[in-house]
Amino acid sequence: MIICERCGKNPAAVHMTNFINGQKTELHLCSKCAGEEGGLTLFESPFIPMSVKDLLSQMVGEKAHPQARCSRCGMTLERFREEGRLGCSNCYKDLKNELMPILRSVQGKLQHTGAQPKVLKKAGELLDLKKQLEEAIQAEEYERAAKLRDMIRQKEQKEESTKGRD
Amino acid sequence: MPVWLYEAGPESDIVVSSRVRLARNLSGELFPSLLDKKGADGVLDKVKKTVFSKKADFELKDFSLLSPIEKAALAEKRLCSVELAESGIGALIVSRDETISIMVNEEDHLRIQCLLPGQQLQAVLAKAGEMDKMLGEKLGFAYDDRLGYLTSCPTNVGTGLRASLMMHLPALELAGQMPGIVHTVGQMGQTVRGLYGEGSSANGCLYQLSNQVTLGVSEEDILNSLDATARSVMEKERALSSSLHRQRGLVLEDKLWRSLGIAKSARVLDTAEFMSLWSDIKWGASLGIFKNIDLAVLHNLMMEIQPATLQLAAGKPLEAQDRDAYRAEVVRRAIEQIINK
Ligand SMILES: [Zn+2]
Ligand SMILES: [Zn+2]
Repeated sequence: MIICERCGKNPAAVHMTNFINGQKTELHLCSKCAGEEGGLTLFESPFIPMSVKDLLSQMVGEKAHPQARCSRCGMTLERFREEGRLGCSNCYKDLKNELMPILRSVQGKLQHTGAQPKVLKKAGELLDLKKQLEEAIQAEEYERAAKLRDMIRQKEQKEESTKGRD
Repeated sequence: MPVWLYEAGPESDIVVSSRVRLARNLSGELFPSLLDKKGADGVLDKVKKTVFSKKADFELKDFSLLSPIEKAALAEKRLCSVELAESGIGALIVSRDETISIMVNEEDHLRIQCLLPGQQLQAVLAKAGEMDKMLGEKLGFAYDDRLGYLTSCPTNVGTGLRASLMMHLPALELAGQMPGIVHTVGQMGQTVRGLYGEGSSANGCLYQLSNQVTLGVSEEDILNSLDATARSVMEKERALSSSLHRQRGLVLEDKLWRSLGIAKSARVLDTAEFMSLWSDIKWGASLGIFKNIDLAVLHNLMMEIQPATLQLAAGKPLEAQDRDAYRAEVVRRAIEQIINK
């Protein structure tokens, strides 16, 4: 008899097959967890963490250190694999070696190409300009450097004034 | 008032609804799984202030003040998850027309969701995106140049976007074609799954098509490829459906008319039976066998007969047997309204 993977109590009555990047995962739920009784739950979220957890237990990176832990929230690989949740955004830095193999197999590509938050994008632009300024000075292109300096000053002033409004 | 009540949307012969969800976290805060009540309330306060200072047509659902039935009804309307309502630290902010909902302190600090009838993926993303922009500018979201928006689970990192279409696919299901489609779609970084499980008539032939990959693809590409998959699935469904109708017209029409007959006269209906009747009525409407069916009413009926929503409408808790009787009554009324239009 197969036991429900969500509550671990009742016999499974609903069997679902899911494919992630061509990889087959199966999910077995009791009728209660599948939403028959307490209201047909149309929501997607109860199902996703389960298959993720299944996947996570299969994946350990070669560079993974069993002792690795997030310096901010204390999250460990062990705990993450058990719960399927990270503790804070810093986990992505401190558990990088451990998470990368997981990201690679769940996501495929590892460079974000979608939308950026507006505030950060502005900061990014500023950094970019400052880097260009450095390069221009090094290359002794003073005319370009002066232009860049003006642009940076303008941007910084704009930011100051929007900050002031808050 | 939910838009369901007056509009079925584009491609509504097959697509019941479109949805997007954006996962976001406030930078500098622990993710919800590590937050205590005080920390969670701090996050909620910031979100509340931002939303209510800009938007008048939103309201807060305080789970500590709601009855179990009221909470379950919100989940049945897909405005929030059952987990959120029961978590003790979660809250829900919903627009008056119930198209936008913000789950606070669920798996991530924010789950911004938008739900519209029919195939309206671009529109749902635009609406959710507007809310995302407004909140992001004020609150500052956890973001990394390489990994994009940082989420509590690595499966959402990057865009944090999950887009999905709820599709009614009775011909493909009847012809046993769904496993093949599930397999093919899986190889595209997308997933199709039965909304209420697969391979039983109780599932109402409803399937949810959604993107699986969130990193390394832009929001636009996610929607475009989802739309492309949806269009090819719809083409197959329509072709198969009309060929079945051509070849086995009498048998098919008999099956669908009988289901309409039962829905019109049954005195007891459980959800499983209702879903299979619902599917047949919808199929009959799509094929033009039943004329003048108001799809908005039909789609809305699927929400109305869910256990908690039903009890809320009845104004009192109902045991399973009484629910089945009341459900039959609600269904009879709706079918009459649909037919006599
Ligand atoms: Zn269970
Ligand atoms: Zn951490």
